[in-house]
Amino acid sequence: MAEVGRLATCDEGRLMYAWLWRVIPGGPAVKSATFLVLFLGIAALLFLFVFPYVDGLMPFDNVTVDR
Amino acid sequence: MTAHSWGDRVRTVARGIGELFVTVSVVLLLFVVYELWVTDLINQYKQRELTNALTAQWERGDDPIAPHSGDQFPKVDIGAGIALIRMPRLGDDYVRVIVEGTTREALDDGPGHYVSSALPGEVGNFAVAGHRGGKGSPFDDVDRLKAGDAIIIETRDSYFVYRVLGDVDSGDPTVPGVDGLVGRQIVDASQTTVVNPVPGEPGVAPHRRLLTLTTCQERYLSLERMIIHAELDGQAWPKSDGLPPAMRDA
Repeated sequence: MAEVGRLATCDEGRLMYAWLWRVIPGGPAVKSATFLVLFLGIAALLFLFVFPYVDGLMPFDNVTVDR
Repeated sequence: MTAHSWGDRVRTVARGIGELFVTVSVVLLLFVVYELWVTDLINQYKQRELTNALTAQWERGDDPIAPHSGDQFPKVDIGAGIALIRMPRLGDDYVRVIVEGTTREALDDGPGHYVSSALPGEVGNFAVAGHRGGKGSPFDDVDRLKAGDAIIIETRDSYFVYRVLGDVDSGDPTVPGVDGLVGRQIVDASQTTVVNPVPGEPGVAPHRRLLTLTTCQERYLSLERMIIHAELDGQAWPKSDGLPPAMRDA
């Protein structure tokens, strides 16, 4: 039991996912749903803005002859 | 409490690092999904849009690459569709819209025409660059082209049937023909002379009607370029005569 108590204190508010889980309101089901929506939102931002930008910096597929 | 606090801190840092690794790997995984599949989907959509725009323009009687009066070179917006390319060797249904320009944005939408190179059917070298890994990979399989294979360019009024150079009897495109030009070669990325009017000979006036495709040699790590050279077979084939034989066979 002492072990469990220490795990709880060590996670408390310090780690991102544990912190999110704590601050998101509602029961486990609502929390999970909110997590999913957050994840999809961040994924959308990545696909729409971040990845196209990063892709431009990658040397993956240079196909032209140039200097 | 103080007896535990140092151990707790180490544990928190270790878990924080673990959490960071998990997060980063999920983001990297999503990036791989983006590169391998999403860019293809975006490209498919863009190609469909470009095809519709180009055929609509043709139907209006407007050819984007027809020489306008007074201008030696027509002015085409970078990224606009100019012609269709077919390579029966890569499949009967293989057709892509060639866009004007070789900027990254243009090439993401389709194979791109080197702006200062010749136009389809012209004396000189009609040079086109295209992706091989991702973005629809239009030139993914150009290494499968054999000597004598048709590369067909469709403009508003004509088909231009080019034939891959090399040894037509054996089909080997890496054997130079009598003219010294090969159908397929690997060059350094800096070797811009392959898209010159006379490939490999800068400043020499052309008399042949060539087509050159450039793409990357190694997918995803591209320090060298794969080059395909082809030459116009006969004359322009007017669309009013129906499909050229090279397309009817296919």
